[in-house]
Amino acid sequence: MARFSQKQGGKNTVEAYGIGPWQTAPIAGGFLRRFIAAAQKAAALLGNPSGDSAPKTREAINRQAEQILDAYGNSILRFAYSYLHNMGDAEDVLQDTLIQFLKTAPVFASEQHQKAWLLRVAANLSKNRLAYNSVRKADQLNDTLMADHREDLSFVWEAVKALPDHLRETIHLFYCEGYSTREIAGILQQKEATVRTHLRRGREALREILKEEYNFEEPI
Amino acid sequence: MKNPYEELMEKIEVSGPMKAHILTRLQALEPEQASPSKATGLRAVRKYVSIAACLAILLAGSTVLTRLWNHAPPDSGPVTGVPQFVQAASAGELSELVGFEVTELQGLPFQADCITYTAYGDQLAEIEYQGEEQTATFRKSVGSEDNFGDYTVYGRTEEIQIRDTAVTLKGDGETYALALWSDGTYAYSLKMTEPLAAEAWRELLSGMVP
Repeated sequence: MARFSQKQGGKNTVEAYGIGPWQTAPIAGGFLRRFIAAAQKAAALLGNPSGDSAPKTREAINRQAEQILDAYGNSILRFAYSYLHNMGDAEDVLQDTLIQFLKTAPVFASEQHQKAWLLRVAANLSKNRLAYNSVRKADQLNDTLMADHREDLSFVWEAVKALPDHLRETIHLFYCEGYSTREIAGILQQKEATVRTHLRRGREALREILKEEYNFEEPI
Repeated sequence: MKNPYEELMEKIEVSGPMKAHILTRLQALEPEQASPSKATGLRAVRKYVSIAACLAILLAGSTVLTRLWNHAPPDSGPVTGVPQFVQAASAGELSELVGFEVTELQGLPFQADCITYTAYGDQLAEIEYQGEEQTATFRKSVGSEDNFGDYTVYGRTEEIQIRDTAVTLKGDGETYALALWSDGTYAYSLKMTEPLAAEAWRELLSGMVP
């Protein structure tokens, strides 16, 4: 949890958004987590026997969307950009991810769970967009790096961009978000062994392109 | 020490204008479109009520143990402020909402039939002039970065100098649809649905740019 607080600029989401201990309690084991999630949903339904969720006010939608943007916006945007290489497309995926979150209103057992869900949705939306529109527009990140005279980072970005999508997504989640292979497997809905293989192949491909100039070797 | 990939990815971030842009587009959704779907009805209710009933004792015990394991519960604290996307009736009212002066544009090349003033929190002010066949959208924001949020790839960029200010024009061919400039404190942008030539922009902006 502390790692994510640091990633979000030191802001503790619990303190910032008043999330009580019920939602953030460390819960061991998926079995207990699922039953508690079901009980939360039951409590919500009991409070509204018709089963209908009252339509949210516009203010409530804005507030919820802003909270997600502040807490996870950068992570979602960066993940989408790693697929799409274009800021306009990445922003659209960020917006669509927010809409999915607002419409689905999933119940989360923890912040990690919430973030993983959002990244999984962003990945699926990005892949759909790739399948639908394979024409890439301008790569603003590369333009920014060149404008900042960071040809070294541009070199790295070009190398990562050249990776196949299934290797690049693993590389991004490992090196940018700091997820373990087990966590990446949960986000991408893959076996952990598959993630390890993708990570190894991604590193090998990067080593080949970057020629040892940057060392991406870390214990998996 | 950050790895180079992490370092380059930090160049990608949700800027203030992007956030305002996204939240504006969400505003266009009807509240029902952004609300949770209706539950599955009585069958779902019975299912979850049964689960909840069976787990009542277990949950009570879990809650007690959880509170014991946790550190002192954090203060709930205030929810972060909600930026209100507020329509104003005039440039003067808009200025009061955003906390900085916003003045009407003069010299537009068309007659505006409808003018909309919008404040995005205290960061961004927008005035939209709608004519019969074209629209001009003016934005003023705190800071100096591009505040239009327009990721259209323009084929041509030109920089013109108006007195002490460098104005960036973006467009295609011989005309430009977007102008961006800053006075060091605020960023400005003006988007025309009917693009103009550089000289027409110079004439239009000469009354606005310091």
